[in-house]
Amino acid sequence: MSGMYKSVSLYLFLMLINAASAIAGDVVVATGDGFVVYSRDIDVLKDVYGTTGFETSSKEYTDAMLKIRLFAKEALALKLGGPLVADDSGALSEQTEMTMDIFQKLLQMYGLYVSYIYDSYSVSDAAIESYYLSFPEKTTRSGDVLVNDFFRPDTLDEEMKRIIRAKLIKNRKPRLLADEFKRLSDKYHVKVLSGY
Amino acid sequence: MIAKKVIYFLAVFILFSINTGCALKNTSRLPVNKPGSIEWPDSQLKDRFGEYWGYRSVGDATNILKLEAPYVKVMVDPERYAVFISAAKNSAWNSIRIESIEWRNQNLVLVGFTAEIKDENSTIRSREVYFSDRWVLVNEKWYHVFDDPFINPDK
Repeated sequence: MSGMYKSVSLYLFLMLINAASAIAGDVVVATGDGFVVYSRDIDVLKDVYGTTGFETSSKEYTDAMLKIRLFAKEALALKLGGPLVADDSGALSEQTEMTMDIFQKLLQMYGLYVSYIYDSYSVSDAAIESYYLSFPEKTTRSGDVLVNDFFRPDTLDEEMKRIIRAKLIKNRKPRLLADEFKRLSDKYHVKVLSGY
Repeated sequence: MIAKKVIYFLAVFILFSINTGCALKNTSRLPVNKPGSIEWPDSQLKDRFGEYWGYRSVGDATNILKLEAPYVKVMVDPERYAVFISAAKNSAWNSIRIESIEWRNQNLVLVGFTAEIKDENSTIRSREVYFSDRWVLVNEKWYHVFDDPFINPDK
């Protein structure tokens, strides 16, 4: 029963936010725990992409804004950007009026979290070694002195390991981001309210 | 049905290997290429090669993936890989003939072979397809090297 009251309260709360925002010509597009995405936020995003001539569907814009919000939120929680001043931290983690400045900071945090996802993806030593041994023609550097038995596990150095790791996850990147977006959407109970 | 096809394939492969003089030797690895000789480096590679192409011939993606080099499992999405592999389901592999086995380095062997394949929906009796295969030795196990622009855009 209390669950029903909670749902009704949440619904009324969102209706009130929507009504208040609508006065200012703003509509709630999506909500999640601790943040709200307004139509105005999407407009900022459209303005940024508009300068490059890029255009996409409303759903893509909404997803992109949600992804930025969610990834930035996680980056803040993990302190990936180092210690932030209180104002910045507040502006980035809670909903405030979206300005270009805040948007740029959100994008920075988003970028940090994307790097964090890639770096955290587990790639075994065996995977790296197998690629190294399988493709001598692709893993030869200009300074390598090639002899017949050059490609052995013990000639695989740290620099080459980093190069191969980057090659291996290159194809997986879109999927990694999509999976993380889905995970965070569930974690923060994201709801898309209107197809702005 | 699939299991039967795999067993049939393995039987044909073993029979053919013996007839064509592919030595089933369990010797230590010697990265020396003898001109014109077709000699398996060890019995493990021969067995895994037969297993791999047996599964490939029936499009059994789950078992094939186990025999792919570890990097394949990182690079490719399993569902996408299964779609690619299942394309072989509608063909019957009648036989394979080993053409060459060559060491590239002490952890890499190239196996050239010709397969006689019959497409089930085709009116053509059968066709011969040449394959150039790589096998890599990682942690004492031989793995197939899957190299296709499908998963490896830098090819």
